[in-house]
Amino acid sequence: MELPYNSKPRPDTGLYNGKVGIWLFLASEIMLFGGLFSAYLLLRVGADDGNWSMGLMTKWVGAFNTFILIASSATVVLAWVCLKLKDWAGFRFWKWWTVGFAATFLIVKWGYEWPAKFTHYDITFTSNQQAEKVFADVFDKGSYNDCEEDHRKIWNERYDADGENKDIPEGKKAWGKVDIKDKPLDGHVVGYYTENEQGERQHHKVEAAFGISFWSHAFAWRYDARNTVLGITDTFSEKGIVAVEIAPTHGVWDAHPEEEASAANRRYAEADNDTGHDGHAGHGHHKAITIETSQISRLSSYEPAHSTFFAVYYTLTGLHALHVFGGILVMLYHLLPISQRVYESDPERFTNRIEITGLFWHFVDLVWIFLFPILYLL
Amino acid sequence: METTTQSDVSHEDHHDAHEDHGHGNQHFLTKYVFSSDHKVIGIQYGVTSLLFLLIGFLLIMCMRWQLAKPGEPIPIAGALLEHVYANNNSGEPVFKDGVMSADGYNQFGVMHGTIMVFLAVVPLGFAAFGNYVVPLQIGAPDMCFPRVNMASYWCFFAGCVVMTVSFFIPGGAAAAGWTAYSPLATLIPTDGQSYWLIGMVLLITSSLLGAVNFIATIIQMRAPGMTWFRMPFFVWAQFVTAFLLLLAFPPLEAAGIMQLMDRVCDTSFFLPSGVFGAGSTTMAVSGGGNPLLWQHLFWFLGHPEVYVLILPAIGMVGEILSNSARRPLWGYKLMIGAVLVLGFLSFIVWAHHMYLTGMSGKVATFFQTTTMIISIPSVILLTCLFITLWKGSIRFTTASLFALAFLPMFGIGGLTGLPLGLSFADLHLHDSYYVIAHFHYVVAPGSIFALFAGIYFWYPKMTGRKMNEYWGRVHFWGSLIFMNIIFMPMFIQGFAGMSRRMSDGGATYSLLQNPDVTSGALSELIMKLNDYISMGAFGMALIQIPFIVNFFYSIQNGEKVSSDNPHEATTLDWQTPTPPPHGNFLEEPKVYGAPYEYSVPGANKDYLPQTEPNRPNTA
Repeated sequence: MELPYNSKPRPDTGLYNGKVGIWLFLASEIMLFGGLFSAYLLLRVGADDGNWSMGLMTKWVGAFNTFILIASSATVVLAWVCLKLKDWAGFRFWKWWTVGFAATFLIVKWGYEWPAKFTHYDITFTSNQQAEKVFADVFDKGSYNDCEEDHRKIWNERYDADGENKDIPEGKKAWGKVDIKDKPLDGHVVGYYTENEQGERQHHKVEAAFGISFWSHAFAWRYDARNTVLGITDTFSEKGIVAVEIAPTHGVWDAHPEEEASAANRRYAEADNDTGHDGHAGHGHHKAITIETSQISRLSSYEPAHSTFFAVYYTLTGLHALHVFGGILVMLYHLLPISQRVYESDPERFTNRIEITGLFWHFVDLVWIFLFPILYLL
Repeated sequence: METTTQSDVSHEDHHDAHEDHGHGNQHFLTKYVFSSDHKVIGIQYGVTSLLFLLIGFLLIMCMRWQLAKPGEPIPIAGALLEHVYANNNSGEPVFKDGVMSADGYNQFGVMHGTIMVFLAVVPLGFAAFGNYVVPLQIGAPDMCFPRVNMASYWCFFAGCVVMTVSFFIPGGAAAAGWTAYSPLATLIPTDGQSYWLIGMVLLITSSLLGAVNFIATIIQMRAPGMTWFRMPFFVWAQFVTAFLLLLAFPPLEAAGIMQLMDRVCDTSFFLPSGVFGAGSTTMAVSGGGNPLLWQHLFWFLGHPEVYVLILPAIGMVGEILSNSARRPLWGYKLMIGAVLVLGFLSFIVWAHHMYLTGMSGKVATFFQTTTMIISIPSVILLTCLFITLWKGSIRFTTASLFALAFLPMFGIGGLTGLPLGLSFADLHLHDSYYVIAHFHYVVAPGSIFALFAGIYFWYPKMTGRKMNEYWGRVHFWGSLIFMNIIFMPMFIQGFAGMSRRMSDGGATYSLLQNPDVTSGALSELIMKLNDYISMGAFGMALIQIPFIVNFFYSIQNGEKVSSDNPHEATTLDWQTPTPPPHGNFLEEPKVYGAPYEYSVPGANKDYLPQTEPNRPNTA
C-alpha cells in the first residue's frame, strides 16, 4: 500500500507529507526550547546581584562554534541544491562537509569547552580574615607574575590594602555588598594533602588528565562545608583531603574597574569584561598556593551544580548538542549506500528527505544563534 | 491511492519495499505487535490504556480503604502489597502488616493521578480512538506516517514500563504529588521521582510523535470531497487536541529535564537560596532557583492537558448523540469555532491553578478573566449537544445512555469549576476535596463515560460483534449511581474544609479524640462521609465486572452484526468492511455531503452516508 502525497505535493495544500510533519515537529521543538529560554529569563532576572556567573565563558570559542554552525547551514543547502540538479557526487561532497562541521562543533563543545570548565574551580572562604590572607598571598606576595600587574593594582584599590580609604566598613572593604570571603578565588586543583594515622601530612600531586593541557588536573571535585555539618559525603571526605593546592588564575577579577563602577558589588566579573579567564588563553598558571580545608566554605568546579548560570548553560547547550548529534546520525545515514539505492529508485522522495533534514538542521543552527548571545555575550 | 481489497492486498503490494506492514501473510509479530497499521496501533493503545485504567482504579481502591478505615490492614491486597512492595528510605516496609503507611498513601496518590491522566484517559481517548477512528472518518488508507505511529506507541509502552517499575524500586514510587512541585519533589529521597520524570519524558515523546501524525494526517490524507467542513466533529476535536499536545507538552518536558538535573546533577533550577537541610543548616546547593518556575511550566502543560482529556470525549459524544438522536449535530460550525477558541484560550489560563502562590492581584485578575471567558466555548459545546437532542427520536442503546449521561455530569464538573476560577473563592476551596470532586466530575463521569460510550459504539466495527446490551445497561446504571455516590459528597467535605492528601482521611487533623478542640475540626458527619464514599467506590468496582466480562466475552460470542453499518451512521468509518482490512476502504471513498445528514427531508431513508452521491436538494 502506497500512501498518497509521500513525494508529490497534495494539490490543495501544496505540501508533501514529510514537510507538514517536519514543520509541526519544529513547532513543538520551539516550545521545548522556549520553555528552557523562559526558565533562563526568569532565573536570570531573579538572580541575586552579581551571582549570574556568565563572565566565565570564553567568547572566541563560542564565536568559532557559531561560525562553524552557520557554515554547516550553508553547506546543507548546497547539498540539497546538488540533489535537485541530479548531482549525486556534489550532494555527497557538501553533505560530508556538513557532517564535518557538525562534528567539529561537537568536538569543541564536548571535547574542549565542557572539560575545560569541569577542571576549573573557584573557592569561597569561611571568614573574611582567611580570605584576606589568601588574596594578599596571591596578589601582594608575588604569586602573580608580571603580566598581572593590572590585577594587583586593581586588588589594591579595591581591597584598600593600605587602609587609606576610611569610608569602607570593616570586613566589606571595596567589595561593597559582597563580603571578601564570598568573592571567589579561581584556579586549578593541582595537588592535595591527606593525614595518616600519625597525623603526618602527605602530599599528592594531581596530574593533567590524559596529558592534555585543557583537561588539566582534578575533574569536577566538590567540597561544601555545609555537607560536613549535614554528614553528606563529597570528594573531600571520600579522599580525606585536609588541604588543597591551587594554582590561581584571575577569572573573576575585572580587568578594567574604571569602566565598571558597579563591578565592586558583584561576585563575578561581567561578560563584557573580557577576562580571558580560563588560564591557558595566553596567561600561564600562577604559583600554587595551599589552602586548608577548614578555611574553605565551598569549592566547586564550573559544573552544573556550581551555580544557576552553569545549570542553565549545561542544560541548554547539552540539549542543543544532542540535537546536533542526532542530526549527524541522520546525515550519515543519508551517505550510506542504502540511501543511494533509495535515491536511484525514487529521486524525488529522497530529495524531499534531504530537504526535511535541512529544515531540521537550520532549526538546530537557529537555536545556537540564540544560545550564543544569551550564554556568552549579553 | 490505489484500490485494494483484503484478499489481493498481499499479492499486489509485495513488490513495494517501502510499505511492508500489516499484510495478510505476515508474521504474527509484525502483524499484531510491531504493526504500523493504525487500527492495530489503536487497539494496542486501547488495551494498554484500559489495563492502566484498571490499575489506577485499584490504587485508589486501596487508598479509599485507608481513608475509611485508617490504620486497618487492607483486605486481600494488603498481604500481597506487603510482600511485593519495597521498603521506604528509612528501611520500614511501606505496607507493614498490610497497613498502608503515609508513604504508601502518598505514592499511590501520585501514581493514581499520573496513571489515570497520562497512561489511561489520554491514550484511550486521544490515541486509541483517534488512531482507530480518525483515518477511517476522513477516508484515509492509514495514518500519514505509519512507522512514526508505531514508534509513538512503543515510546508510550516504554513510559508505562518505567512508571510501573518505579513501584518496586527501593524507596518506592514518586511521592510528591502528581504535580511534582519542587522543592519537595527535588529533595524527596526516593528515586521513584527520577523514574517518574524519565517516564514522563518518554510519554511526552510519544505524544509528540502522535500529535505530529494526527495533524499531518488530517491535513494531508482527507479523501476526495472531504473538505474541512465535511469532517466529522470528532476529527475536529482530535485536530485541536493534537495541537494542544504538540505545543503544551514540550514546556513540561523542559521542566522535567530541569528537575531531573536538580535531582541527578545537584543543580538548583527549582531550589531557592537557603533551603534548609537538617536543623538550621542550609543545603549544600548553589541556590538561586525558583520553585514557582516549576509550577508555571507544569501548569502551562497542565491546563491544556485538561482539554486533552475532555475534547476527544466531547467529540465522541457528538458522534454518538447525533447518530442515536437521528439528528444533525446542531450548530456544527459553531461547535468547531468553539473548539478552536477553547484550544487557543487553554494556553492562557494556567495560572488559575496558582492563586495561592502569592501572585499579584493584577496577574490574578488577568487569569480569572481568561478563565471566565474559556467557560463560554465550553458552554456552547454543551448547549449544542443538548439542542441536538431536540425533536430527535433517540435510540437508547448503552452507548447513547453513556453519551447522554456525559452531558449533565460534565455540566456539574464544569460549573463547579467556576468558583475555583475566581481568586478569592479559590482561597477557601483550594486544595480541598471540593477540587477533587470538581475535576473528577469532569474526567470520571465525564471523559470516562464518553470513553465507555465510544467502546460500546465502535466495538461492532472493531470486532464485527456487539457487546451485550442487557449487561451494558447494568454497567451504565450502576456506574452512574456509584459515580455520584463517590463524588457528590466530596463537594460537601471540601466546603467543610477537608484538605486533599491527608493519608488518614483527616482523622488526626480533625482531632475527634479531643472533644475540647473544636477550631478547625471536621465534624463527625463529614468524617462519616469517608465511609460512604468508600462504599460507593467498592460498588463502583463491582459494577465494572459485568463490563470487563462483557468486553472479553463478546469478542468471540457477541451478537454478530448484520451489516457494515449497524448504527445506520453517515460518517465514513461505517462505510468500510467489518473489521476494516489493511488499507481500510475497498475503493477510494468519495465524499458528497456533510457529516450528519440524518432525517433529511426527501431522502428515502433517515440517514444519508457521506459517500451517497444521490442526495436530495437540501439547500
